[in-house]
Amino acid sequence: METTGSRLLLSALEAHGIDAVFGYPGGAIMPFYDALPQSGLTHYLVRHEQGAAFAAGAYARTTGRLGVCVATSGPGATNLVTGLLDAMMDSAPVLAITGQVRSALMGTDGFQEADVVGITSSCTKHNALVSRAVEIPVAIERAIRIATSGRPGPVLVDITTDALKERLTWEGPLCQAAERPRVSQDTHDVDLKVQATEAIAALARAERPVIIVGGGTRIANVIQEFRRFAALIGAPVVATITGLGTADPGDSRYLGMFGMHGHKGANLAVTRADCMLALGMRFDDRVTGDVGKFGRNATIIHCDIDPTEIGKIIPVDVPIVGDLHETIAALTQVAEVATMPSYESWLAEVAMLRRPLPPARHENDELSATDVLDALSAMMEPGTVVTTDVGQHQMWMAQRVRLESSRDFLTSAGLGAMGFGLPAAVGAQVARPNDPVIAVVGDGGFQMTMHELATIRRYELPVKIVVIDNRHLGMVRQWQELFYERRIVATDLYDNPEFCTLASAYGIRSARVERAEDLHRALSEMLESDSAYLLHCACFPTENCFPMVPAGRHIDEMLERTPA
Amino acid sequence: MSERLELPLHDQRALAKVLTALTRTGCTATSVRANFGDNYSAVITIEGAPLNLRRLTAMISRLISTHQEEYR
Repeated sequence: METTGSRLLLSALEAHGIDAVFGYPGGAIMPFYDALPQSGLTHYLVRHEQGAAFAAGAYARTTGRLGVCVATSGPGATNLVTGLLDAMMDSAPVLAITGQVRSALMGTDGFQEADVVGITSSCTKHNALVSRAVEIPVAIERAIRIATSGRPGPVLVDITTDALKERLTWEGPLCQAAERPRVSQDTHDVDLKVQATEAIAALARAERPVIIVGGGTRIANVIQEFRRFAALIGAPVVATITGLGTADPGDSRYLGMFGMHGHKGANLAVTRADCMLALGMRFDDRVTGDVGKFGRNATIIHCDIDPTEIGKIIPVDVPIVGDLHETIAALTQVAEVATMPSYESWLAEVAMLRRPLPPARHENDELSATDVLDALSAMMEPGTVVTTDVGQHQMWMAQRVRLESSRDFLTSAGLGAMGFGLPAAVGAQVARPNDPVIAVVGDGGFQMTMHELATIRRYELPVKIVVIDNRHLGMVRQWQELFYERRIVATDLYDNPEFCTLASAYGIRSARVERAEDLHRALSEMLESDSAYLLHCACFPTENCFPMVPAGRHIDEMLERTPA
Repeated sequence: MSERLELPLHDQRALAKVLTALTRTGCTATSVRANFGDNYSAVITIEGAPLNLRRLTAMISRLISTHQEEYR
């Protein structure tokens, strides 16, 4: 087959089942864009490369499939970095393709040249430079295999312009079977059964067990398997922010999110537990608090596909390394024939530990952000995808949102990248065109990536945008108030733009709500709209997010209100 | 208190990744002995606080695991 590097690249992507890419063109990647119309790929033009990386990450999180983003050399590639690191931290399979200056210019500080492989080496699972067209199919094959196997993550393939332009004859395959060989499967199965038996025995011995679900349960897509297993064990369940949606929200033993802004009952249950079964989570400092005190008196059973997570933060008594499908199946099999206690007194104790979230605080007649998010959570249809930015609104939403699936809540959890919400909504709506998608964003984060309103408009994506505008970088202001003796520095956004005018400039319908009595009607109008819609919620600025565990403190040391 | 780790490497391409991990975990390479013959081999001696070395070991394990997958 007579072809070019670009056409070979596009064919390889198609052969791997890729049908959507998010990108932004530029000099070095032009041969790719020149060949794009002849391919079967749909390209979504974003307005900044960071938006492409975030959209690809959201596409991956909400479908479990590979997200793909494309950028040019130099600044195009460096603008991807935040999105790649976000995907790395939250284990999202993303393929980034970047153009590179022609081979002869490399190392000369040429125009738009950057050492992209060097720059992205610590924010990708794998990266590679390709300077010959013939290497493209193998490089793409390898990158996709690494991105999607084991613990998923981002990969980057940097391709020189001359390789993209190069003409060649290609007769080889574009996509080979990507299954990893399962070495010593028999040994693995024996080990798994032994470890599962030990884990269930530890749970059976325990008087106060807790099951923790993390983002690995979303990646492994084990919602139904987990719910069956949890019902079989009968222990209380808590979730990390990326594990939200895995547990049955209607199960009385589910206590919600735990950690820095977790529910009080969840944090207290974890603190008092004598045995923890942690599934697909990595003991992030935002959930452990003071790591020296975390789980000090508990038997820790840690199940994760990444062996390097075992014992990285917390000493583990029973490690189980492997895919959660297999792990939960093995645990279930053992538990079905084991004699499990009813944990009656522990469940009664846990029921007493439950506390409602602190009530919304009201100031004059101004709107409370938590009132907005309470109402939104109650009014959303099941199956709605929610994306957030980072900050108070993110934690408020995580505390309140009632999810049927862990693929329905997309947030920058590990990296905490502001500006994630809007481009993530683009990626989610492209991935799931028939489901409602709501971006809940703060006034700070929204202004980092609000240019993606143009992408929403161009592709007529019916994304709903709720801007929680408290005229501050709220979480930083909250920390300044609580931990920096109320010295409020560089966090007021008193000069925010008029968000409805802004939406209107992009051709997007909008409304502003500033009084509690108008809230329900405003939300209804937004949710009933068939097209994109921005709801500007003008909230009072000093509402704080509670419960809150001060950084470095033990997770039962929660603040529930602003100290006098 | 500082502890010492001797890390053998058999692939030159993994060296840069290991050196990056050193910086992140606050550990120090006190010596690198490399043999650039037909069969590349190197031993890096690393020193650091016990907790830092534990984190470095986890990070390097992941790097080497992915690296082996890259070049398998």
